[in-house]
Amino acid sequence: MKKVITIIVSVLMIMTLAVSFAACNKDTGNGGNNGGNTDVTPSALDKTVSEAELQNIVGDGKLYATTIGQADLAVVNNLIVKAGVAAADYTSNNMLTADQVEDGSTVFIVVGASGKGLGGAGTDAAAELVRANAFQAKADKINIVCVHVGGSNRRGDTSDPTIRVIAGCSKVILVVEEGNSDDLFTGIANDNSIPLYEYSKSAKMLDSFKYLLGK
Amino acid sequence: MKKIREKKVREKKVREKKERVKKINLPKLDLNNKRNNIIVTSVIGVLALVVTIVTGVQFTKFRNFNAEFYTGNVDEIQSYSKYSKYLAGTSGDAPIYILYGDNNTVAVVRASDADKYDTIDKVLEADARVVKGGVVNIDKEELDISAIAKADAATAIDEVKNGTSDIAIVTYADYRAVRDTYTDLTVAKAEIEAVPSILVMGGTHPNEPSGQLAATMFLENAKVKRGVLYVVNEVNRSAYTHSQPQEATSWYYELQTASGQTRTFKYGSRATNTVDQWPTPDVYTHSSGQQLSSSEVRNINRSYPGDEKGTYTEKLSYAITQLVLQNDITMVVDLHEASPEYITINAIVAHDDALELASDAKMWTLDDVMNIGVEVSPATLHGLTHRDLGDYTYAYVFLAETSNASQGKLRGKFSPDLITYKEKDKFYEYAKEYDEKHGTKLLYAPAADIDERVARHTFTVSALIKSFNDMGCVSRTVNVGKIGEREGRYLGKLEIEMVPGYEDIMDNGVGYYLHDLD
Repeated sequence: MKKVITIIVSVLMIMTLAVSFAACNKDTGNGGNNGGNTDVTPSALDKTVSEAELQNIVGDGKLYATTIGQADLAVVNNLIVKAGVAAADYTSNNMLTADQVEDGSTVFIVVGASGKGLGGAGTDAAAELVRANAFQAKADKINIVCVHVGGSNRRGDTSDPTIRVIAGCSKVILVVEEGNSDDLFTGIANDNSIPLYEYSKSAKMLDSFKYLLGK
Repeated sequence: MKKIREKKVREKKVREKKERVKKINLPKLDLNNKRNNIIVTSVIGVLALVVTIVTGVQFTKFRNFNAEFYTGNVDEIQSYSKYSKYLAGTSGDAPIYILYGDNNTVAVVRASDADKYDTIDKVLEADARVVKGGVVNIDKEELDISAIAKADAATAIDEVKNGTSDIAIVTYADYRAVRDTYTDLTVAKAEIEAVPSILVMGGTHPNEPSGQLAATMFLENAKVKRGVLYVVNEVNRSAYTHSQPQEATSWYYELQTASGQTRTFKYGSRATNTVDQWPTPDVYTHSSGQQLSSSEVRNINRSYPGDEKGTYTEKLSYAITQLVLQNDITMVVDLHEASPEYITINAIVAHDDALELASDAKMWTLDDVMNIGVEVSPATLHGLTHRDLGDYTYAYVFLAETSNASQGKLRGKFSPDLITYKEKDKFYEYAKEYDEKHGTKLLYAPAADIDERVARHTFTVSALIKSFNDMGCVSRTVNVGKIGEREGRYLGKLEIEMVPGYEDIMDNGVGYYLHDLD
């Protein structure tokens, strides 16, 4: 009888430990290693970016917009123009490469992949990952603003590898909350101490765009 | 031991059953006997004939059944054969409904002068009369109003009627008021005022009913204040004349109007009827050189820009392309559906030049009430409206998709209720619950009922119009078009009223907004 009780207690203890471990994992998200020191939790929904160092992040540098994943660039263009930047005053290019970006510039990069977009642009996920890695390599010389607006449809095996690269080297992450339902962005932000802002819909990012663009 | 005993009992029961069957004495039918052979063959032949006749009559009835629509708001009805002459007299020669804006400024002339006044210069040279209400939107640099006598609309039109004046510049509403009485008057070709226009297309695929119904929402309810509304709600009418082979689909579904009248609609096929286009090649080669499977050769949404002398389906798409081109239509929205397990669903697919408008509509209007994505039209996939209708016209072209369980492969039994999804399909509901529970994506969107699907489409069209107005009311600039470059121009607002909104349709149902038919 003693043996049976011992076995049951042992099993219960192992199960408790397993559940605790799983819960810890969920808290830190799926952002890769969980060694970040700063616990970055997303600001309350629909908040405007408020870090002083991010205000007018463009400064005197040039402004670019691109997409890694060939989706939703028009959404970010719409926000940039509505924030008060004339279309002629910045460069929007869906195939922009890191070496086309001058040092000291700011690049708004929309992440999340579209199958139609990739096919239409004549590229694929592997080539987009190469482009993303090039931006990552140059991240200390430019400002990258990571934007994700496509929700869960722009997540998954095709999207997530490039999301990890770009979000992980950005100065700030702006994401529509449905696209962060598994806390991928939260994990990346935690690991890299990057401010993360969640929005109920893309239009709610407008004030943050104005803040970042100094408008 | 127990198992062996049970096995023996089972075997005994099987033996007894076989013996019982043996004891039944069936009459022997000797088919080598000539007389018996003739009788059996004749019975089979008669049965086959009866089945053929019954199904043939049913198919003929279905092929000839025309769904009726309320056209009380329509100013003009054209047909495809106006733009694609070889379609005249065929089943696919579908109607094109045109609704002109009340406030559009037009030049009313005698019918015999219709072709004479085709430019503003020619209008200016005429002895014209103008009414105050009709000149509000005229470009005054082009049309010197001060040089034209003024009168109220009725007087101006009367003077044209009795020959005192050649032209009356009035609003379309003024002309509409006398149109049925003064049948010898008409509207001149001269563009007195540039206005925007939109073509709403439903029924490209007759097995995607919310497209037809949403187009019908516009046809039966819209009041155009400014601009022109074109509606084609049976884009491939030939595909409405048969059903999808081997799918056991229902042929009709019904909706109740507010007064309780039953409106009957057809559920057809994705493809043109083989009666109209046959044989089918093994490989379909599009005019771009793109090769697709044979099933796509009768799919109108793989045939744009079409060909006047091509296959029957290409003649149909040629008619649409010419309609858009010859009338310089500003925007085109092609309304579709897809199965819940298809990735491009609850989405707008936009031609490259229309992407900004689609994104604006999503961000500032649609996101408030529904989850919808925006996709760019792949430049290398040819034959679709959002690609080649865009490439071969000057219109902003969009295609929208909703979630239709009756198209899907997970569905159970087919019935009219599956089309409307008023009775939920247990397999799609299971898939939905499974996704919710496990975070999977068996479905890219849950199956939706007909009210939600039509509400989405109707609201999407309205949102695109709103974005066109909000973003400056400028027609498309074409830089690298296949039909030549052209700068966009200011057209003013497109104003369409009385179309039910998203909440209206969700609250009251589609049928509430369908008219009773006499």
